[in-house]
Amino acid sequence: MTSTRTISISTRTALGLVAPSLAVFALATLLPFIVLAWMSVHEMDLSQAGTQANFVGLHHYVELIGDERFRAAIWTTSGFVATGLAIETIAGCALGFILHSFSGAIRKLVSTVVLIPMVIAPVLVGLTWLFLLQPNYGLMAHILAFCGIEGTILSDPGRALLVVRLVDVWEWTPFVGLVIAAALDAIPKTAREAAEVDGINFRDRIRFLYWPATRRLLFLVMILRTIDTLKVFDSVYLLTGGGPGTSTELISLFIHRVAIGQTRIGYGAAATVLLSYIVLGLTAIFYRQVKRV
Amino acid sequence: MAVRVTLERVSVHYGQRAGLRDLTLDVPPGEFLGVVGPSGSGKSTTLRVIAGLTRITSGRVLFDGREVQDDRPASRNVGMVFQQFGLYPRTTVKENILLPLRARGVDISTARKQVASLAERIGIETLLSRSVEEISGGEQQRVALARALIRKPPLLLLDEPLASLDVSLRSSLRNLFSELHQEQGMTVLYVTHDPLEVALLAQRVAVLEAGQLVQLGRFSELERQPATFFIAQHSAALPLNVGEGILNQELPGCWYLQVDQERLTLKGIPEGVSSTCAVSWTLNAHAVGASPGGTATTERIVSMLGIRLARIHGERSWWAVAHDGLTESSNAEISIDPGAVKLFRKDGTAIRILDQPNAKSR
Amino acid sequence: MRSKRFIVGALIFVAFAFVWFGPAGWLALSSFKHRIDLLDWNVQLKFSPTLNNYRGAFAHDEFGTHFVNSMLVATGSALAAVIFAIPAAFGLSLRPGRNRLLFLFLSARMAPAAALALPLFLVFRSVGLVDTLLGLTLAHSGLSLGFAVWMLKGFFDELPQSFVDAASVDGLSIFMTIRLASRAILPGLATTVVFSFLFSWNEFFISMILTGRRTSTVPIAVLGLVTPAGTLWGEVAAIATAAIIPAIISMVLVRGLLARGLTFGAFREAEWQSE
Repeated sequence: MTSTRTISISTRTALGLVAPSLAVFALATLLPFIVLAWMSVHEMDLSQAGTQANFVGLHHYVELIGDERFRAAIWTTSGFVATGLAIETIAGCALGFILHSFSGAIRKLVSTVVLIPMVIAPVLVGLTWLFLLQPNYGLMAHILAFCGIEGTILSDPGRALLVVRLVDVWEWTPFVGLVIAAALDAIPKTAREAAEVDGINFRDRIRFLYWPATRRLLFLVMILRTIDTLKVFDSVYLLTGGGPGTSTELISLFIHRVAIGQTRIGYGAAATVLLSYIVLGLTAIFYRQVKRV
Repeated sequence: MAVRVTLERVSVHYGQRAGLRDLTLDVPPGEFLGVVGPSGSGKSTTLRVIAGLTRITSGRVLFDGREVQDDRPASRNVGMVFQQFGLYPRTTVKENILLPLRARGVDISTARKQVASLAERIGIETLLSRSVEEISGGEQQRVALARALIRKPPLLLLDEPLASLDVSLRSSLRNLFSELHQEQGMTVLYVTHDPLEVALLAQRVAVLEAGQLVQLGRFSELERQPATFFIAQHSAALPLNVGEGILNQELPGCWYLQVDQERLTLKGIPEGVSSTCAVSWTLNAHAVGASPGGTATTERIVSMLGIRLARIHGERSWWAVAHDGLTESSNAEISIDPGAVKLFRKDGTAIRILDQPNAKSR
Repeated sequence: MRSKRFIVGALIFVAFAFVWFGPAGWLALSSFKHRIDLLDWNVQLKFSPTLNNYRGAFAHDEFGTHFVNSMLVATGSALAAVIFAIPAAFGLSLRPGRNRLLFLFLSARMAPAAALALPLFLVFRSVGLVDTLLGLTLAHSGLSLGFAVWMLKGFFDELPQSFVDAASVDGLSIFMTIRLASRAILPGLATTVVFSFLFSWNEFFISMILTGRRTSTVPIAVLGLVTPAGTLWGEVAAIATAAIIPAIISMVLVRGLLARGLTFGAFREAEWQSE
C-alpha cells in the first residue's frame, strides 16, 4: 500500500490527530485482550463477575486440553472451515465469472440481489433458515420432503451439520464472488481483447489471463473467510444452538456454553484466548499478503 | 510588490534519490522566469522548495536576502497555481478564493469586495456562486489563479498550469498571465514543458536536468547556443533535423562532420575534442535548403510560421526550406549550411565551435 | 445476439434472486400471513394479508422498545465512531508510512466476538454499565472506530496532492483543512457512517452479553422469541422483516453513494508527478 503523498504535515501534527482515536481504540480493543488474559487464569462465575475471582494459573488451559468437548469442537470447526472454504472458493469463482461477464443494468441488478445475505444480520440469517426448515411452516422443509428427504432436518446430527455449513456458504459465497468479479474487471481491456483476437482457448485463458489476475486477491479472500468462519457464532447459535447433542458445537459455541451456560467465564476466557491466537496468526499472514498486493 | 528569490546550493534528497543537486539560482524582483527541463529534472521540486512544500536537505532559500527555508508555506506569502488546479472540492468558486483571506483573518466584507474585483479582472465574476466541479477546465484554472493572487503575493509560482487544458484554451490564459505580470509586477516562476509558452512569456529561462541548472539565459540565447542536446531539441520553433555522426579531423585545424555519405566542413575548431569521436548533431530547418533537381524526393511541402518547409527523403530525411520551383513529389537536392550545425557529445553536452582567426574553409 | 444475452441475463437474475433473495423474501411474505395460513400449504401466494403479526409484535413483544434501542445504539455508535475517526484518518492519510498503525486499527474486526465481549462484560460490570444503552453504544463505537479509520483513510487518500498543497500555501489551519477535506469526501463519509450503523445494527454476541431485559436490541429480542416451547412464527417473521429493512435501505444507500462517485471530476485526471 504505497502512497504517493509527499509528506505535508509534521509528525507532531499527525500524532496529535491520531492519538485520541488511538487511545479510544486501545481502550476498546487492546485493554480487553489484557483483561481476557487475566480472566483466563482465574476461576470466575458470571453472576459474581467483578467481585470474586480465584487465581488458578494455567489450570484452565490444561483442562481444555483434556476436555473432550473442546477437542470435539476443534474438530467440528476445522471440518466446518475446510468444507466451507472449499465450496465458497469454487462457487465464488464461478459466481465471480458470471458477474464479470455482465455489465450495466443487469450487473447492477444481479450484484444487488447477491449482496442481500451479507447485509442481513447473521442472527437473522440463522433465523430465516430455521424458519425455512421448520417441519410445519418451512418452505425448505416442504421442498425437501417433495424431493424425498423426510424427517426434521435439524434434529439429525449429520444433517444439522450439513445445513449449518450450507447456510454459511449461502451467506458468504456472494462476497467471494464480488471480489473475484472485481479482480476480473481489473484486467485491462486490451489484454482481454488480445486474447480474443488470438483465439486462445478457455483453459489457457484461465492459466495466463484470469488466474494471475485473481490469484492474489483470491488468496486474501480465502484467509479472510477462514478467519471469519472460525469466529462464526450468530447464525449457528440460532439455527441449532450447538445441537443436536454436540454435532454442531463450534469453538465459539463451546465458549458460549461454558462461559454463559455454565457461567464459568474464566474457563471460557481461556478457550477464547486460544481461539484468538489462532485468529491472530492468520491475521498476521493476511497482513503480510495485503502489503504485497 | 516583488521579491527577489535566491536559491543557494540547494539540495533535496529523497533517500537515495536526489531531487535537486546543489542548485544555485537568483531571480531578481519582478522577473518572469521560465523553468524547463525533461521529466524528473527537478522543475516541480524547485517550485515546491520555494513554496515550502518540500524540505531541503542542504543549502539556503532566500527571499530578499532573508532565509526562509525553515518557514512554513503560509508565512512565505507565495501564490501557487498547480497543474491539477488544486481547488477545494464541493466548494463554490467564491469560497475557494475567499479562504486564503479568511485564513489570514481578513474581515468578511473587505474580503468579499476584494474577491469580487479580482474575479472581474480575471473574467470569472459570473461564476462566483457556482461549485468548482461544475465549471470547465479553463475556468477552473482561472479560479486557481484568482485564489493564488488574492493575497497580492510578491511571488507567484506556476507549475505547468496549462498542461491539463485543451490547446485552444491556452492562448487566452497565456495572455492573462502576461497581462497580470505587467500590471502587478510580482516575481513569477513558470514551470512548463512547452517551449512555445517559454518563448512567449519568459524573460529568462532556467533549464534543469537531473536536479541541476544546466543553462540560464534568454530564450534567444538558448536557441543560439544550447548547452545540451535536450535544450537544442526543445528550443526550436521550426522542425529540427537531428542525427548522429562522426567528427573527424582531415588536416590539423580543419574539422568535418561525417553524416552518412555527406561531409560537412566546420567553420571552426570544436572545443575540447582531440580526436575522432561520435557525436549527435542538430540542424535547424532554416539551415537546410531544398532545390529542384538531384536524386532525393520531396514528400510534402508545408507552411509554418510563414516559411515554406519541405520534407525531403534521400539517404536520410530532412526538413528544409523549400526554394523556388520545388513542388511535391519532385526531385530535390539538399544544400546545408555547415556553420549552423550544433554538435553534442554522447552525454548531451554541447560542443562549442570556436572561430579560428586563420581558418581556411574548403 | 443482443436479445440472447438479455434472456440469459434475465434467467440468471431470476435464479440468483430465487437463491439469495428468496429466503428473506419468503420470510417477509410470511410476516403478513395469518397464523393459520402459515401452516396451510395450499395457501401459498394467495392469502389475505394481515398486519396482525406486526401489531402483536408491538403489543406483547415490546418490539417498539427494542427497535428504538437498536436505532439509538446504532446511530449513536456510528456517529461517534466516524467523528473520532476523521482526524485520525486524515492524519494517517497525510503522513503515510506507518502501515502497522493502520493494520492495528483494522485488527479489531478480526478478533473473535467473545474476546471482546467477556472482558467488556467484566469491566462494565464493575463500572455499572451493563444493561445500559450508553454502555453498549460505547462498546460498539470503540469497535467501529478501527474500521471507520481504515475506510476514511482510503477516501482521504483519493484527494489530489494539489488539494493539500494549496491548503498549505494558502495558510489554512489544520482544522479548516480537515473540514474542507471532509466536505470533499462527503459520499465516502456517508458510506462509512452507513457501514458503522450496519455493523452495530446487526451485532449480536456483544449485545447479548452486555444488555439485559431493558435494553435488548432487536437481534436479542428475536432470540428470546424462539423457544423450544413453541414459537409464534408469524410475529418472529414480522420482527425479523422489520429488522432487515434498515439493512436493505443501507445497502441501497451505499450503492447510490458509491455510484455517484468518489472521484473529484476534473481533479481526478492523472496525478502527473511531473518534475
